[in-house]
Formats: sequence, C-alpha cells, structure tokens
Amino acid sequence: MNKIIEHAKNLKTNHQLIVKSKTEVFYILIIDREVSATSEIILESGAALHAYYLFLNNKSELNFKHTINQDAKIIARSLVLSESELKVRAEYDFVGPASFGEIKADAVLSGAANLKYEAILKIRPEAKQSETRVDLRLYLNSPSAHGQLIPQLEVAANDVKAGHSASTFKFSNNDLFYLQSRGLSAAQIIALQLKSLSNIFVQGLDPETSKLLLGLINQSI
Amino acid sequence: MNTNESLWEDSNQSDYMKQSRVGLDEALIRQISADKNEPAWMLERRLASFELYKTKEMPTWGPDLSKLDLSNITYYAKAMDKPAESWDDVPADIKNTFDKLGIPQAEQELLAGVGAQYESTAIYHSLKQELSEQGVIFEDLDIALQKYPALIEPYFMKVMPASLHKFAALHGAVWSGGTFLYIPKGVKIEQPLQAYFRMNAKGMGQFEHTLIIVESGAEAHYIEGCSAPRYGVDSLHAGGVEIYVKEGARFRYSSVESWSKDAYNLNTKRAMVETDAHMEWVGGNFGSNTTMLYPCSILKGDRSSADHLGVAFAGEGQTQDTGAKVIHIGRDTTSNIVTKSLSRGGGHAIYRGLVEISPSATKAAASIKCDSLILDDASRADTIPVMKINNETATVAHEASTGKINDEDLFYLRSRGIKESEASAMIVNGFIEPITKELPLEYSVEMNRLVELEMENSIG
Repeated sequence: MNKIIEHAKNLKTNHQLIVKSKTEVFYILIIDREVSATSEIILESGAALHAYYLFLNNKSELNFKHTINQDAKIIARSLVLSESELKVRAEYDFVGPASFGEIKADAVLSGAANLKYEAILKIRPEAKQSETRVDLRLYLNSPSAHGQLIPQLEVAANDVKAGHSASTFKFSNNDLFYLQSRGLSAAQIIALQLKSLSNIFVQGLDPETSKLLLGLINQSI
Repeated sequence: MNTNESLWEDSNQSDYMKQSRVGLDEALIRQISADKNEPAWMLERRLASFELYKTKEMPTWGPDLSKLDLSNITYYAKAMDKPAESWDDVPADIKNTFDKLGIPQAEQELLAGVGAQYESTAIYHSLKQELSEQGVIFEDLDIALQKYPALIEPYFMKVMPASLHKFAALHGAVWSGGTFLYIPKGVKIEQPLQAYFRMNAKGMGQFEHTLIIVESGAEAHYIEGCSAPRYGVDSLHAGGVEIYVKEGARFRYSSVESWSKDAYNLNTKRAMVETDAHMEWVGGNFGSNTTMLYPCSILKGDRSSADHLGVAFAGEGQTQDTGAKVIHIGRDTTSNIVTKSLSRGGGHAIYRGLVEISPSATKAAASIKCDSLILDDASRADTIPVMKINNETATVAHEASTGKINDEDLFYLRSRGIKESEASAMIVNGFIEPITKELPLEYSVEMNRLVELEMENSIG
C-alpha cells in the first residue's frame, strides 16, 4: 500500500499529486493550521486513490482539482471540525470512461464557524459508464455558526450514474432524551457524536494512521 | 386547452406595430405611463427602475446572454386600445389565436375567470359573477391601477424590487398589462383562474406584471400560460409575478410556458408567505432559446410553508436554467422542492436552487429533490443547489440524480409491441408524473402533449 501523509505546514501553495496508472494510493491531508493552497490531483488510467482530508479548526482556503481518467477510482472522505472561517472548493473532473467516484464530507461547526463547502462533479462526454456520488452532511453546533453547502453536478454524458445529496444532521429528540436519561451531559453527547464521526472517517485506514488522526481530532476537540 | 404545432408556426399580421418602435429610452417610459394614464407614483417608480436598469450589469453567471440584443427589442406595442368586454368583441385574428388555445371553451367549462394578453396589453378579462359579488377582483393590471390604486400601491414591486437584478429593473421600467388578482379574507375559490399571454410580433418584448393578494384564510388556484411564434429574430419575455399570501391563506400558482425558440424567457416570480400560510408553485418550462426562472418563496411568517414543483425540457439549441429559491425567516417553516428536467438533442437543462435558513428560522425544515434525465449523448444536465444554513436547529435534505432512460424499461415496453419513440415518451411522461398530477386534468394532458411535441422536436 502506498501511503502519503501531508500536513498543512508542508503544503505548497500549488501542490500536485499524480497517482500513476494501476497504482493504489492512500493520501491523507491534515489541515491543522491556516493555509491557502491549490491542489491538483491526477488519477491516471486504472489508478485508485483513497483520499482523507481532515480540516481542524483553522481559517483556511483550499482548492482541490481532481482529474479522474479511464477506469480510475477515487474514494474521498472529508471531516471538517471548525470554529473558524473555512472555504473548500473540491472539483472532481471525470474525463475517462468507466471512472468511479465516491465523495463524502461531514462538517461539524462550532463557535462562530463559517464554512463554504463546494463539491463539484463534472462528468465529461467521454466519461461514459462512470458512476459518481457525493454526499455532504453538516452539523451546526452553535447558534453563531454558518454553513453553506453546494454539491454541484455537471453531467455531459447520458450513460452514467450520478447523484448527490446534502443534509443537516442532528440527534432526534428521542435520541437526546435517551442519552440524557443515561446521565450524559450535552457536552458529552456532542463529544460522543464527534467520536462517532471520527471513527467513520478513519474507516479503511491502517491502525497506525487511524490512531494518528484520532489523536489529532481529540486534541482539536 | 389544446396544443398543436401551429402555435409556434403561425403569427398574425401586426399592423399595430407601425405605431411602435425598437429600443428603450426615457421618452418611451413616459409614453407608456401617459398612455395608461397612470398615477404619478407609478411613473416615478418606472423612471427609478430605468435608472437602476442602466447601472446594473447583465448576469455574470448562468446561461450565455451575449447574443440577446436589448437594443433590437420592441418594448411596447398595443394590439387593442382597451380590453374587449366580451369575447365576441376581440378582433378576429387575435381571437383565432386564443381559440386555438381553447381559452373560451376552457372559460365556460372549468375556469372561475380568464384573462388574455396580446403583446403589451390585455385584450380580455372576465370573472364569474358570484366571485365578483364576494369581492374577488380579477382584472388587467392596467385597468386595476385606475380602479384600485390605493390597493395596489403598497404591494407593487415590493416583494420583487427593481434592485433585484437587471431584468427586474427593466421590468419595473416597461411593465405593461398582466393580471391583478385580489381574493378577500376567507374566500375560497374552487375552480382555477387563468391568464394567457401571447407575444405575436417579431422582435417583441413582453413585460406583463402579475400581482396577486390572497387575504387571510383565502384559497385559490391561478394558472398562467404563455406562447410566441417563431421568427428567427430574438424576442424577450421578462415578466414579473408578485404574490402575497396572508395569514392562514393557501395559494397555488401554476404555469405552463411554451415559448418559441426565438424567445429569451427571463422571468421573475416571488411570493411573500405569512404566518400559517401555504404557497405552491407548479411550473412547466418548454420552448424558448434560453430560460432563466427560479420562483422564490419568502417564508416570513411562523409555520408558513411552500411547495415548488417544476418540469423543464431542454431541446435542441435550448438552455433551460430553472429552479427554485426558498428563504426561511419564520419559525417552524417548511419547504419542499421537487424538480424534473429532461434534455435532448443537445439541450442543456440546469437546476439552480437556493435554500436559505435565516438565523431567525428556528426548526425550519427543507427538502429538495431534483432528478434529470438525459435522453441522448449530445445533451447535458447540471444541478447547482446552494444551501445556506444559519440556524443550528434546521433540518435540510437535498437529493439529486442524473441518468438516462433505463434500458430494461425500454426493452419491456418494446416487447409489448410499443414503438421505441412511443415507449420513450411513456417513460418520460412517467418521469414527470409527480409534477403533472398536481395540475388540473386538462393542463396535465397539455403538459404531457408538450413533452411529446418536444420529444418529436416540434416546439419552436
């Protein structure tokens, strides 16, 4: 398994990653300090990329441009835990036939967080028989937090499956009642929720990397 | 209602156009206002709108409008000096057009009232007597402005201000004709009211204004239809619709727009929805070169709600940029958006939507579902939803999918002896059924027929 772990402090303003043909790469990007950067990520034919984007509590502006060629596969997970202003524009450009994309992002906003998250899926005419999906979820944890979700689909081929969803999520009153009746405070319930989201986020990673990310998330909380 | 291809092929002689001119300046705006003998405040608003129009830029997003030559549009043309009092008094050539649409027959059979506009002015308006006895007003807006200026003035271009965008400003400057519908407190109208707008002349601009006030506890359904013949020269429709749904009222606005492919349809429709009130938009967008239309509900009152249902069909050379906007302001407000788009023959269908949850909109809930069907390799469909969430108690869910006609469905129908084109049309009609079923039967049939015409590439 090829694994690349990149921290914000090492991220160049214009960063490029090329996943070579028929290669599988786990790419973990940790944004734990203020940064403004553009990343270009190219998946050559038959390549597979598992991308993990972790955004922790810092004012930042990130642009990602992913190009997905024939038979290439991208599975991208993002977790945003923010109390600051954060802008993320993630473009996924499917240019080759039979390409595959599964993009998920969860955002938990606290304090005076202000998030703008754009996930743009472009299915080019050549990308026949491609299958793509993006799911964005937002949790506002504070009355002064603001979130803007834009899951955008641009489909120029008809023999494809393309879908997206975006939603807010929160505990139902029944769930809250149950947890509180078990003696959990509001803060503990939120911590539990973050732990659950964090565990979902690191699924698929090796234990060592999972431990690293969960540690960073705990510190951040 | 009756749809046939001649609606987009046939145009009448338009001698009245000799009195009209191409282009827009302050003198024309003053002439329109003087012609209608408007109150001074209306002229002032027109001129203020014109100043805004001159300063506002063309939209920098959305479809390409660079080929729309605004200096080559006729902004005002009067087909008749005043609306006819009976259908028999309408000039034969104009009547013939509306007869083809089945308007007089529909009036007798299923409508509570009917209005018809030809170019810039209304040619006919009628309302069932029992409704006028209950205080319902259904008039050409020009006439209503003479009769009820104090009723109109507080509402006119308030929910749709001229400052909204360039075409709202243009509309505010040159609006002409349209509908004024006033439904008094508690009055419930079971049969729909309808208005039909026809742009006939070459290079024409139509800027009708629809102003609807639904008082507390009232209920009604209003339907608008629009069409224009094909000339090979651009025409412009920049109508405006303002709806005020008061406390506990319910209102449904349906429109079936089938413009020719010469027409730019840049329409603005907005509703203000008060406490416990409900607003429903049901729309079908067919034809036109380019459509930009995003009906908007402002859920101002607590527990107010809105449904937006829409179908758009983008055929060859067409861009249908349509969608919905909902702004949640009150507490416990709910909205539901369902759209279906079809693209074929190189057409480009775009869903563009905004759901905004304001900080005050505690426990707001919004659901958005938009599906696109791409019928061939040359066409495309985009979905651009924006969700702005500024209250942590909100529940917002958006779901969208894009695909093609399922091969297995097509195979099944063909194995039952149905031709491929008919099978495709059946599947497409099934796809849009959640929207068409919300229309009265006659209009539902009309929309299905428009889809079939689009599938045959016949419209415009």
